Amino acid sequence: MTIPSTQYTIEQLARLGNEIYFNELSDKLEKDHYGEYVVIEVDSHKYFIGKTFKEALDKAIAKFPDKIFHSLRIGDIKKFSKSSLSNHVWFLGA
Amino acid sequence: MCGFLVHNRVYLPIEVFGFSEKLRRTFNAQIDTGFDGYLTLPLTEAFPLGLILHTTQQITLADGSNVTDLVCYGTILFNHHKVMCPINISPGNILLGMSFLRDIKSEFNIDFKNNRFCFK
Repeated sequence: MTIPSTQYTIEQLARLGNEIYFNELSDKLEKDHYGEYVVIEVDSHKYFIGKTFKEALDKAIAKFPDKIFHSLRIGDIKKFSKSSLSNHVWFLGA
Repeated sequence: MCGFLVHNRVYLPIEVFGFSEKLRRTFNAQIDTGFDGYLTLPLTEAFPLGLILHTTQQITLADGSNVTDLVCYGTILFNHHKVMCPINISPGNILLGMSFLRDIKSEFNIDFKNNRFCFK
């Protein structure tokens, strides 16, 4: 069994993923895949789309089983200033 | 297999584990038809299960704010169903979402008279 890992902190991973999304992907993906899910591998900038989150994540894991990704729903978040994105790490209950 | 109603909320007993079934634990999960994923677990409940982290996920909350969840892969056991799926690590209640209900392909009925619900 492969255990995925990352060199980044959670905040770095989320920020890099969001930057890739807004700088490279949002225009083309929101036109044709609005409401679907995208999973981004931040080192290669490769991305995987699915109608469901599980579908997109399964594709990403199949390609990069040792990586940890960043994911979001296409069109769900708007482009805020960099300081407002991924500053709030939810899982800690903060 | 039946769940139960408490204060107009529907709860279902499930088992969850990560890389080893030996780590499985039982939870009473609230069904949330407004959640389109599979399962959310608070961090303290997730740690002992051996869940494997696969992705961060940017989520927009109802108030418009953005937060970052962790998402692991794990297995949910319910009745004779075994669902391998993404599990969101989020504070708050343990919630079962529509993706889980869709995957088990069952019909469920809520019996308000006896405060329980069952899957067919």
